[in-house]
Amino acid sequence: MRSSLFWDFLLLSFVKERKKHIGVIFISVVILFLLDSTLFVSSSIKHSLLGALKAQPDFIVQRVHAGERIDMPLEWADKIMDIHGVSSITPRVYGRYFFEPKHAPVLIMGVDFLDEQSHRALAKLISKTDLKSFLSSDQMIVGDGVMQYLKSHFYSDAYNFLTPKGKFKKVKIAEVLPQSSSLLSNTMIIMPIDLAREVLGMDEETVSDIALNVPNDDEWENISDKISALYYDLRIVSKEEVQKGYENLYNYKGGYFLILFLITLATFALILYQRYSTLYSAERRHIGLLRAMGWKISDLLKFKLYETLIVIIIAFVLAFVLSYGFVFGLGAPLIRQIFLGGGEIVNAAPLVPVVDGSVLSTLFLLYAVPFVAAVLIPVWRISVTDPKEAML
Amino acid sequence: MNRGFYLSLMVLIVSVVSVLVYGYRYDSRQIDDSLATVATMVHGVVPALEVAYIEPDAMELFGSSVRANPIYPEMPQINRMGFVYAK
Repeated sequence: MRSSLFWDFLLLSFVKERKKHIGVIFISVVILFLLDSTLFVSSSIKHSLLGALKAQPDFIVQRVHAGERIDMPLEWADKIMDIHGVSSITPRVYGRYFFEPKHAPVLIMGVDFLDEQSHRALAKLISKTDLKSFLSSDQMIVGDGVMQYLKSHFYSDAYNFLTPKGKFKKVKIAEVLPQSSSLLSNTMIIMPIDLAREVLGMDEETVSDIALNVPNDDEWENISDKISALYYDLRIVSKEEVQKGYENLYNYKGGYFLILFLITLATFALILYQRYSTLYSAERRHIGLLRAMGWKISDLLKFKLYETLIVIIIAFVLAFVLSYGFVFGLGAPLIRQIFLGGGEIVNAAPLVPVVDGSVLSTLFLLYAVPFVAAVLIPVWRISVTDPKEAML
Repeated sequence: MNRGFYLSLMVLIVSVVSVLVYGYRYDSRQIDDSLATVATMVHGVVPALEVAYIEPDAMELFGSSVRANPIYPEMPQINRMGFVYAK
């Protein structure tokens, strides 16, 4: 058969049976749209987090009791500093504070602004604010979500923290962190380290954990062993472990939706198979007629294959475009809450457009292969029968 | 009859091209920079994922249940330190 005639016939047949195809495309678009949107959100968050991980210290040393992190003496930092190969040790002070019992948790981070790195970062973030006045009085920098929450509770200038010692500590709001950093800072309150200690009820000689860098990658394992040998109750978390943790978090979520998708896809394939295995008599007659006119089985299969591929490509591309617009244009309402939360402190972190090609191609294969099989197998079964029987 | 098909195809191609152009021209440097700055300042990457902590009112769709009282502000409740406040 001449190629142009084949294509003309294919398009005519496709347009003629458009109602049938539109139905299939619609179901496919709904399924793919949901999955694409979920994958876009997860890959965007993963991309941003992994990018920010470059600033993560190489190791975090924590003291553990009964499997839980507990505060550790500040002097341990000096002992770790004595290990050859360790550089830039930073004791960290942080803790969770609940604005209401069991509700609205925020992360209080105490930062030593005398540390050059932190000071420079602060100056970069809040260039308009007077750093001197910020450091001289009790002030804090809050994340965008925290600010919205405080404003909604009429604390637009300052907040009275209730310390574990039973005293109220009034802390002024100096600045709000930009919304572009909300993925990290939405529920974060940054304050000078001594103020954080006071709010969290820690004494001056105690820190939450110790962050450190080891410039020589080859020394990582060795240094990790040396630090472990210092005290029996230490837990050392490497940068790689944090990275794997974040990857697993979203793989789990992505995988969770992938399982749902597979179930939906299997159902979809079964519906299609059922639909094509009990082909309408008109369609059976159509196949029989084409066979009687001299169409080979391979021509028929080619015809149906191309027809199915057109449906698949249209549905896939349409779902891709719609979900892209939904996630990166509209900010993925509803779906973002699954990943970011936002029941109490709303997270309006912007989603960076990231499309993972490998995920998309896997998705295409997972969708296209069962679809093609569900269409071609019944068509092949009919086309191998005698045309007279098929037309009955 | 095929004109409709080709027209739909063109619309699809144009939308794909616009998605690609949008993705290519999107400047994510500001977001990356501010994330890196926060991470540098606090010496760590702690994602603000409320889902990882207690969230009894998760999945409030369309922001239907706003907990803040716009008429009378809700003061922060006092939990185990209530006795101090009572004094």
